[in-house]
This record gives sequence, C-alpha cells and structure tokens, in this order.
Amino acid sequence: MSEFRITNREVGHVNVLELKGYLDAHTAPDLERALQDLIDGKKYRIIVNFQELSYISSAGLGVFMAFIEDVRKNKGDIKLSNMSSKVYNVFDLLGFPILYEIFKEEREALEKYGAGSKPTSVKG
Amino acid sequence: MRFRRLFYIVVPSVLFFLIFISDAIRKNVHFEIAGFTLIRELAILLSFFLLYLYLQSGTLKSEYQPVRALRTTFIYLVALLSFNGFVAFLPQGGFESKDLFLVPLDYTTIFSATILGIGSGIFCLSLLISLRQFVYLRRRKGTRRWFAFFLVFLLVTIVATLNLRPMETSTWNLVFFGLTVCLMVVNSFRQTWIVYLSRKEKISIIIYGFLGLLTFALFDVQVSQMTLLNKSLLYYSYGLREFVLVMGIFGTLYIGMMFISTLFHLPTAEALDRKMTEFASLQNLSRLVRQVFDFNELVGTVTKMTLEVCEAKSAWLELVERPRSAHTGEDRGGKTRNVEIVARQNISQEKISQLNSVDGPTLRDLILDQQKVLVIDNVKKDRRIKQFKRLETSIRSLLVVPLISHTEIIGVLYVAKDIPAGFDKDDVNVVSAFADQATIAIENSRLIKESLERERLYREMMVAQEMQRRLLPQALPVIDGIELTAISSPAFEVGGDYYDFMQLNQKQLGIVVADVSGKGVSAAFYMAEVKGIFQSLSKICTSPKEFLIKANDALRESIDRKSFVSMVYSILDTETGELTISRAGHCPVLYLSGETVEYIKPVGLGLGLTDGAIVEEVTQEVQVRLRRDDVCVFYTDGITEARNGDGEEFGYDRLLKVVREARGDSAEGIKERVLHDIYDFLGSDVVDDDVTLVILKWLK
Repeated sequence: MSEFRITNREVGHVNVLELKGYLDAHTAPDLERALQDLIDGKKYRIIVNFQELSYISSAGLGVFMAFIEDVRKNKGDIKLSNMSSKVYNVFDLLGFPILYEIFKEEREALEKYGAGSKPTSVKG
Repeated sequence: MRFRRLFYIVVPSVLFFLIFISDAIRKNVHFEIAGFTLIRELAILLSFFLLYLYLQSGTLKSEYQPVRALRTTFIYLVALLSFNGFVAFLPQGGFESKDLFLVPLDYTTIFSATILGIGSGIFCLSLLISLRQFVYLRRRKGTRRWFAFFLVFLLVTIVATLNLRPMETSTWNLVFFGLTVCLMVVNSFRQTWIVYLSRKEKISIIIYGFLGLLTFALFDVQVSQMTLLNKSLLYYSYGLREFVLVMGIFGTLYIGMMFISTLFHLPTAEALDRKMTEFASLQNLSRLVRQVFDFNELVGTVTKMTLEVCEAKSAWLELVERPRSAHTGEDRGGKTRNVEIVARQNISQEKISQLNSVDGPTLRDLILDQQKVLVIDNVKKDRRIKQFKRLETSIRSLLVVPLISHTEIIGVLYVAKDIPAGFDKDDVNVVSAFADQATIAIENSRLIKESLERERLYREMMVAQEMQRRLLPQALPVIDGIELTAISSPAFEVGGDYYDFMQLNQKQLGIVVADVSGKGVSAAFYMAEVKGIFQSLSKICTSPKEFLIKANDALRESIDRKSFVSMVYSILDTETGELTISRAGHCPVLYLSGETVEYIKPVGLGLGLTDGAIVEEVTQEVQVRLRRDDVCVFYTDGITEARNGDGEEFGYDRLLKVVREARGDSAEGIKERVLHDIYDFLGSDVVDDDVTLVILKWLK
C-alpha cells in the first residue's frame, strides 16, 4: 500500500539509516530487521535520518523502543535527525525528545558521536 | 385370497385321491360307464389348471434372479428323474397293451403311475412359470403376445388328445404339436437379459445351463420313448403326458439357447462388467461430491472406488499443501510442501513411506514436475524411476494421477497392482475421471471448512467486541453543573482505545482517556489491562502525576518493548471547577474558555516506554480553574490523524476550529458537530483508527 525504503550508509564508524516513505504497522518490520542486522553486526552507533519520511505511526515509534536498551548497553546509541515538523510532533507528543537525542541535521549527530567515546574498530 | 389358494390346492388333492381310488377299483372290477374316461381326463386337467393357479399366485413378482431360478429347476428335475429311476427298480408288474389301452398289472404300478404323473405335472407347471419369468425379464413389443400364442397352442394340443386312446396319435394332434414347438422356438429367443448379468452370474448360468441341458435331454428321451415314465404318463392322462412332453422340449430349447448365448457373451462379460462398475462408481462419486462434510469418509470412498474399478491391489491418496513460506514444510528437490496421506486401501503407512524414501525423485516429485498422469508398467524396469530397482516391494505396476485444481496440484492418487502392465487405457481414463471428481469434492470440502472457520472467528470477534464494549462505562456519571458525553469506536472489531470515569471521593472525579499503540486484538488485551490499572490505582493516587508514575510501573512489567500506552488523566474538583491534568505521551487536551481555545500539553512520556525515575522526573501537572461554559475535549489520535482520500489529516487546527464554532452548544451538541465535521472531511464514516472523544462542559 504505502511505500517504505531504508538505505544504510556507513559514515566512519557510524551507520546512518535513511528512511523514506510511510512508516506504519505494515512497514515497521522492515525497519526492525534493518536495526536488528546492525546490532547483529555489532554496530551500535546508529543515526536514523528522517529526511524523506513522510509519515510515522505509533507502531513505527515502537520499533525504536525495542532496540534502544540493547544499543545503549553496548555503549552505543540511536540518534534521530532531519525530522520534518510533522514527524517531530509525533515523537514530541509521546515524549521521545526526553529519551532520544534528536538533531536538526545529520551532521550534528555525527559530530556528537565524534566528540563522544572513541570509535571502537569492530568489523564483520 | 388365502381361502382361494386353499381351494386351489385342496380340490386337486381330493380329485387326485378319488382318481387313484377309482383306478384301483377298475383294476379288479371291470365296469363301463359312458364317458367315464373323458370325465377322469377332464378332472385331471382341471386339477392341474388349479395347481397352476396355485403356483402362479405364490410366485414373487419382484427381483427375479435367473441363476437361482435355473438352479432350482435343475434340482427339481434331477429329483424327479431320481424318483423315476427309483420307481423303475420297484418290483411291479408294469403295463399291458390292450386295444390301444394301457392296463396296469398290479396296484404298485397304479400307485407309482399316479405319483409320477402328479410329480411330472407339478414340475412342468413350475417350469412353465419359470420360463415365463425368463421370457418376461426383458419385455419388448410382442413378448407377451408370442408367449400367449404358445400357451394357446399348448392348450389346443392338449385338448386334441381328449378323443385319443393312450397308444394312438392323430394328424391334428401332430399338427398342433408341431405348431406349439415352433412357438417355443420363437419364445426361446427371448434371451437379452443375459447381457446384463455379471461375469460371475454368466459363469453360473453356463454351468447350470450345461447340466440342465443334459438332464432335460434325458427327461425328453424318457417321456418320448416307451419307457416306464412315458407309459405311466400315458396311462394316467394323455393330455398330461402331452403337456409334459411339450414342456420338456421347451425347457431343453430355452436352456439350450440360454447356454449358447451365455457362452457367446462370456468373452465380453468382463468388459461389460467393468463398464457397469465404472458407471455405477462414477455415479456414486458424483453423488458423493455433494456430501462433503465428512472429509475422511470422502477420501476413503474415493480410494475404495478406485481400487474396485481397476481391480487393483492397493490405492492411496495424498493431499499436497499449497507452497508456503520457505521456513515450513519439508524440503525435497527444492519444493517445500507439506504432504499428508489422507486415505489408503490395502497398503500400510510404512510401505508408502518406503516408496517415498528412495534416493532421488519420488513419484510425487515426478507428478509435481510433469503435472500429468504417470503410468508405470514395470516398476523394476521403468527408466523414469531407476531408483525403485532395488526396492523390496510386491508392487509391479503403478498408476499415478494428479488432482489438479486451477492449474495447481492439490493431491496425488496412487493405484498399484502386483502384476506388470496392469493398467490399460480404460483404467487411466476412469481413474482420471475419478481424480477430477475427487478434486471437486475435496476443494468443496476445504472451502466449507474454511468458511466454517471464518464464521467461527467472526463469532469470536463479535463476542470480544461485546466484551470490550462492556469494559467502557455503561453510564456516564451524573453530576450537578457538569455535562459529560463520550463516544468510542474501534477501527476493527476490537481496539485499543479506552476512556473511563471514577468518582474518587465526594468532590473529585477522575477522567481518563488512553490509547494503546497498535490496533486490533493485541491492543484490546492491553486496553483491558489499562482498565484494571485505572480501577485499582486511581482511588489510591491523590494526583494525576502520581497515578501516571504508578501506571507506568505497572505497565512496564507486562507490556512488550515495542508497545506503549498514551494516556491523559485529569482530576476534576466538582465543587470548585479546579481541573488538574497530566499527560503521558497522549494528545493534548483541548481547553475552551470564553473566547480563547488552547491545547494544554503538560510534559509527559508514554506509559511503558521507560522506567519510573525518568517518568517521575519529567511528568508535569497543569491546573486550570473552569469557569461557566468552559469546555474540555479529551480524545485519541484517531480524531486528529483521521486521513481523507488525499492523505490529508484532520489535524489539530480543524478540531480547534469546530469546537470554537460549537462552543454555544451542549457537550452532546459539540460532540455531534465534531463527528459530523470529521465524517464530512473524510467523505465517509469509515475511520481507519480507533476513535475516542470525551467532552466535559462546566455549567456553574
């Protein structure tokens, strides 16, 4: 019904997931899989870029909740960036800004990672 | 009726007895009464006529079985001839010829002649009735007429003997006799019923026909030559002897014809047999197609009929499940399908597994590959199934037919014989026809099962819906100076929206509106839990914030990590109008006071997202003091996120606008206006999310 695409981009030691289209109960499993793959590959520094996401539902929000504990336990994080005001409002309503770092630009999120703990070189 | 039958048997008995007495007297005392011989003759003929009526009325009209009738006739005849042979050995004087009359020399002769006469007469009467039944088995135009002619000439032949002495013949008598024989020949061609007998019955007919022919020939010789039997009969009654002679010839002719035609029909008997079985089976099967409620019975009948119609050794039926996701089902040759043997005849589960456990492609794989009938004439030599060469099995030939529905194989029917090349073209055709019928029946059966299941689920959901409706307040609290109204409707049968009220104490009313993430059944379960939490915690918490912290703790334990509950909880002081609002990630409360409308959005996190410490730290409370005609609107995101055909959301601004415009109305009126505007915006009354709306109006 609604199209949803995820692109995974590696910037240094950070993985950036770019979301495009509609994120709802139907497409949430795709994002779940993408995040699970990163965690399975021990990649815990994640930025989710919402630049091209046009809609997010409560089921879409749930996906982030499912992984945040694991990621943070491994000294990583899921940072969010480039939200349209509409998408931001959904996150805001639920109180996500309290739990997640949300940046206007992906660059800021990358900088935050750079300034934080040293990159651990884990591969494969 | 019973009286009449009694009459038919008593009168002849009496007459036979009287005749025997008079015969005995005449031996010693010679007296001559005019016409005595004629009267005696007529009395005998009358007796036999009455006996004919007696036997006739005892004949069952229905279900005439030719084989049994033939066998009975044969046995009676053998009995009669045996008795005749026995009598011949008795010490007796016999007859002496005198003026063309036969004179018995002693009483034994008279007695045995009487018994032989009556016995042959009765036998020939029953033979006549039997032959008539045979002739009438397949009635055609003229059947009845030709048989009637025969009876008439038989009678005439008998009548023509009345003026004759036992040892003389007349031309008329011979002419009529000849004509009667001709009519017998005509009637002897009525043999079409033989065609419809089964092979087994035909063989019986041939055996009894042959034996019958021999005995009848013997009987004919006995009756036509100057034997003791012939003499006895001639002495007893010329007419009776004539009748017995005619019937003997008729019996010989008819049974002879029967024997010959059956012999000629025998080679085709098997083919005909099979056609008849096929026909009957197909008919049964098509009847079965309609009774599809018992699936096991259905597949059982299919295999059983297949077995019968091919005269095969064993048959079994496998159903193939439609290909599913790659995770389930066995993997064989890249095809992931679940296969179930649903019926088998004369073959064990182990034998079938054995056939399927060969290295390389199984029969099923071949069928799934080719999608058409597979005939294997020799299991050990067929090149397509080389892998069967080393298999220990008594099966020599195989017929494997796919059950195809909408170009997809739903099952495979196997038929096996323990002789090579056991299946001919007819077998293939008829089993294919079976497979087609079975496919329809199985599909129907499946459809019915599915629709029953769907029906059951639907009912369950209706029950769930009704139960969920009861989780919502059945009546709104009635409080002076306050108007309250509420509506909640799920997107599907059940949903995750919840609203409720709680009279906390004499002057405080708790108002809650909550939304469980997700929709449908999973949301509905959490919704029920939220109600439990609300009912147990609301009374012990003095502030909305405290309630939300405790509710978060309770939900955090039970809810899965991907789900959460958004909630707005308010406590209203029903005396002062002081309203304290806390929000847990829920839609802000729309507050209208005088000319100003605003969204009240105290900071707060969705319940179940994180642990208590953070919730306690960030959750805010906002207080407003309601004044006269102030309105508060609590709702779920189904209202603001209702999307129309263009993907546009109803949104906060539209909600705000409609509430402002309707502010003069009652709470109920405002609710109606909001709903009306939403449906207007959507262009239909179908909302794709759970929708809840609670409106409070302060009148004091």
